[in-house]
Amino acid sequence: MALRNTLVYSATILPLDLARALGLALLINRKLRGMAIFRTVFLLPVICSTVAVALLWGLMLDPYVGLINFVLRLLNLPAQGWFTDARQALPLIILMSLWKGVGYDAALFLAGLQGVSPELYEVATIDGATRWRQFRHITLPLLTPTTFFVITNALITSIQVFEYTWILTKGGPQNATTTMVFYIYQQGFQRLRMGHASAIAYVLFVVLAIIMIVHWRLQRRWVHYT
Amino acid sequence: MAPVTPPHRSVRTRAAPSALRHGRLNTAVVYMLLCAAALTVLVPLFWLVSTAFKPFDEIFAIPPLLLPSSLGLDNLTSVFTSLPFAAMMLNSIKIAGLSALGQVVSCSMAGYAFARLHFVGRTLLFLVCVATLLVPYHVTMIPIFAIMKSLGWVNTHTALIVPAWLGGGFGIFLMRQFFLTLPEDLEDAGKMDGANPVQIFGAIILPLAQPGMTALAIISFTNAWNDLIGPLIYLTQMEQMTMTVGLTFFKGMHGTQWNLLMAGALLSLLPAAVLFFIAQRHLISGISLSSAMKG
Repeated sequence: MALRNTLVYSATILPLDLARALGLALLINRKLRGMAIFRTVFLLPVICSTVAVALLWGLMLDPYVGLINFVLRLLNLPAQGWFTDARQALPLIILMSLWKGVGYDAALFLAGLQGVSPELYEVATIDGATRWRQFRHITLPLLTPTTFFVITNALITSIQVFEYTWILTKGGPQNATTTMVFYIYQQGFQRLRMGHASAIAYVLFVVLAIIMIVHWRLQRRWVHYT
Repeated sequence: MAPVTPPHRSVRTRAAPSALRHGRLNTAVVYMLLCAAALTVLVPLFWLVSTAFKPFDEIFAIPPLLLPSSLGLDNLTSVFTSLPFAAMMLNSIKIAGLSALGQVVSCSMAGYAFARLHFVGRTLLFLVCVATLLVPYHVTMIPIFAIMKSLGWVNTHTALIVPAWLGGGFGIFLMRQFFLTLPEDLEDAGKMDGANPVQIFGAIILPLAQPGMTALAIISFTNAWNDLIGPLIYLTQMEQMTMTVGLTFFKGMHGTQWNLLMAGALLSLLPAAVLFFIAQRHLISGISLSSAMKG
């Protein structure tokens, strides 16, 4: 159950995070007035501590007195159980970590985008390449080392997700949000079954190692280094 | 002459506004997307700020109050009086700032070596470096604590700062990936002029690496700033704690003091936000510097 939750979490969050972070990075890479403010805004959730973010969303998504259910009732929509609903808890945790983490990956993509020489775009424009073709044939290939890094990092952090479930759901309801690291914590530090916890830690390590080896091997097929 | 000029002018006047309009439309779309994305960030943060100023009995009022009934600073002052929050703030700035500096210095050097220098066992060493990322922090916590204890660093900020100066799988990987995207020609030119690797690194690579280094600084600063478990295991005195630990004290045994918690969260967000605002300007100056070097 914990393994399945962790894999569902990682597999869902990865593509969503990549798409949103890259889109955001392309937007904030433009030289427009007020961009400094936007860049800072998108990084705000990143600097918030995870504890504060989890508690803030917990406050807003409270089924009885939370802001979001109040708005739903105002719009004559049914109030939701959110973290108390076994079907909604895990997707909500995914959305919450997306909310917090996307600015971070966008910053990484931004650094990558700024490493791309502007001359390449000038040459492409002279050759009559459209914006889309420039994106497809200059930006994306030159961004592959950054993308590789972002994917690696997102995989590792998402597989080790812990704080949100620990603070908000304690793995519930009905174990719907029990992740691997939470399971380790539960077994080792709450039930004091250190041996059992270590065994799960090994499983976690092996799963990560397998994913990483595959990811590393595939790198040659799509990552371009200049 | 006369018949030639009108069509010429008309072509120009027709082309110019449409290009202008196209540009404006594009800019408008970009701004709209940016604002929509910013709203999803700002609405929850607005709720944080508003809760931070509410007296305790207004937090769970139905209907929820968008703004507190009166703008009092009671929560902010009681954050400072119920905990040594000012000292915690300084601790956070000190620990996170020095950690970020240490990461940038150590990881940029190691990352450059892995990206460009050729030495025996480079690939193997790099793989070992990256493999450390796979080990969850919670596994290495106890052995590292034992090392810190034998060094006599427990109960000091040194235990939290020094590890950052010893590199780290994440930062080295990040900087290596960044250095790989830089063109090698510049370094070749440096080599031709007889510069040694240290000179090439200092004079050519570092100025170009500013965007990457800024990103790493931001990330390490954030990690140290938000680190909960590190200060908890190494520090014992209240005056030594960081703000992140301080926040958790409001979620105490007698129920959560939401208003104080959010006020504290707001205070912990502000210095970092100011720093980011400045840091991202450096990011921009980093670009202009690199394009000047290339031109």
